[in-house]
Amino acid sequence: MEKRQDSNRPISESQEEYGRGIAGGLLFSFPLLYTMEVWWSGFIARPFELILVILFTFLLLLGYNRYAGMHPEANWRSVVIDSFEEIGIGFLLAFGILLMLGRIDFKTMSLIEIVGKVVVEAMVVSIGVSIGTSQLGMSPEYEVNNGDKKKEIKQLEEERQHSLFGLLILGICGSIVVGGNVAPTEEILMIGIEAKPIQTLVMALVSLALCLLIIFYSDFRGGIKEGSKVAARILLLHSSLSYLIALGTSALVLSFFGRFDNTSFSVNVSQTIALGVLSSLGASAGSLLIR
Amino acid sequence: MESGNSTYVDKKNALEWVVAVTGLVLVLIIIGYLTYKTITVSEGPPQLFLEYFHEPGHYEPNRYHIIVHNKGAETAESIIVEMALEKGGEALEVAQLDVAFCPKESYREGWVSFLTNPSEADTIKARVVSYNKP
Repeated sequence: MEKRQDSNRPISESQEEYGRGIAGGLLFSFPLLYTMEVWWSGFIARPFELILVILFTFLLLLGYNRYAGMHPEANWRSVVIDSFEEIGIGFLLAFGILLMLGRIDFKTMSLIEIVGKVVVEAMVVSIGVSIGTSQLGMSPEYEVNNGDKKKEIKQLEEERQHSLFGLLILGICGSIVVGGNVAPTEEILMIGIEAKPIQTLVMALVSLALCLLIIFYSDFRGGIKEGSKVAARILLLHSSLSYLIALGTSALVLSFFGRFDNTSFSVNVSQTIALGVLSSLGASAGSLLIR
Repeated sequence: MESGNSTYVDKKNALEWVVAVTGLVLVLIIIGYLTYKTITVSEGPPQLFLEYFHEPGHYEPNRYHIIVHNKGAETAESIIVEMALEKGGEALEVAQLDVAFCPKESYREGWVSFLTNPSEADTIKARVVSYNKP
C-alpha cells in the first residue's frame, strides 16, 4: 500500500505501517543478521567507512522513497522525514536482533565494535523496512475519486520508475537486498578463485539471460507482443542496464566486505561476476517486485 | 511532481514525528561518534596484551582464565596464545588458546587447562604467539 499521510491520520494506521516495515525489514535482512562475516565486517571496518555506509544507505532510502516507496506526488520534505523514520527503525531493529542473538555484549565489546555491527546490519534492515512499509499489504490506492486524477498519478508513478534514475535506484536496492545476503560469505571468494574462464563466461551469460527473461515477462510483455521495435530496443537497454547495475553493486559490496583485499584483478572480476548472478536477479526482478 | 492540484496531503501524527526525530537523532549521534573516532584514532597494528589468573573449575582444578586485550586501532584475527608452566627453566607443560577475533579496543576471554598442577611450577608464562590482519 502506498504511504498516505493526512492531517487526521490515526495512530493505528501508523502502527500498521510500522508493523509492515518491521516485517519487511526482517524478511529481507534475517540472513544477514545471522551471518558471522557481517558481524566481523562491522568491527573490521574503519569509522569513516561506516560513515560512508550510513550516507549511502540514506541516499538509497531517499531514492527509493522518491521513486517507488511513496505517493508519486509526495514532496521532498516528506521523503526525507520518512527516510529518517526508516533508518531509525533499521538501527533499533538491528540492535535489538543482535542483542537477542548474543552478538552484543556490553562487558567485553567496545562501543566502536557495537556501533560497527549495528551500522552494517542496519543498512539492509532499513531498506527492508522501506520496502515492507510500501509493498507489504494491500495494492496501491490513492485518496482521489476522480478517475482522470488517478490515471494521472499512476502515469506519473510509471514515468518516474521507468526514468533512468528511477531504474538505477530500484536496481541498486534490489541488488543489495538479494545479492547482499551472499556477498559477505567465503563462498563467493571460493567460487571466484576456483572458477574456470568458461564457467565465469557462462555465469555472465546466465545473468544477462535472467535480466532479459525477467524484464521481458514482467515489464515489456505487452509491447513485445505488439511487435514494437522500440520496445525490443528498450528491453535490451533495460536488461543491459540492470546487469551493469548488478555488477557495479556487487563490486561495491564485495569491496566493502574486504573481498578485494590482496587478491588479483582476475579473481576480483570472477567474484563480481559470481555475485552478479544473484545481484542481476535482484536488479531486474527485485526492482519490479519492490515497486 | 509537486503540482498545484496535487492530492497529496503532507501531515504526520505525533507518533510519526517521534519516530522520525528519533531516527534523525540516532543518525546524528552515530555519525558524530564515528567522526570523532575517525579524527582521534591513530592508524596502527593491533596492540595485544594478556591478563591471566588461576581459576580452578569443578572438573578442571588446573584451569587458567586468560583475557586478551586489544588496545590498538585494528582488529586482530586468529590469535594464538601460549601459556607455559616452567620449573628450573624447563617447560613442564605448554597449553594453547586460539581466539578467532579481538576487535580494536575490545577484549576476549578463554580458558586453558593443564594436566600438571601449577603449584609444581616455579614460573608461569603467557604470550601471544601470532595473529593475522583480517
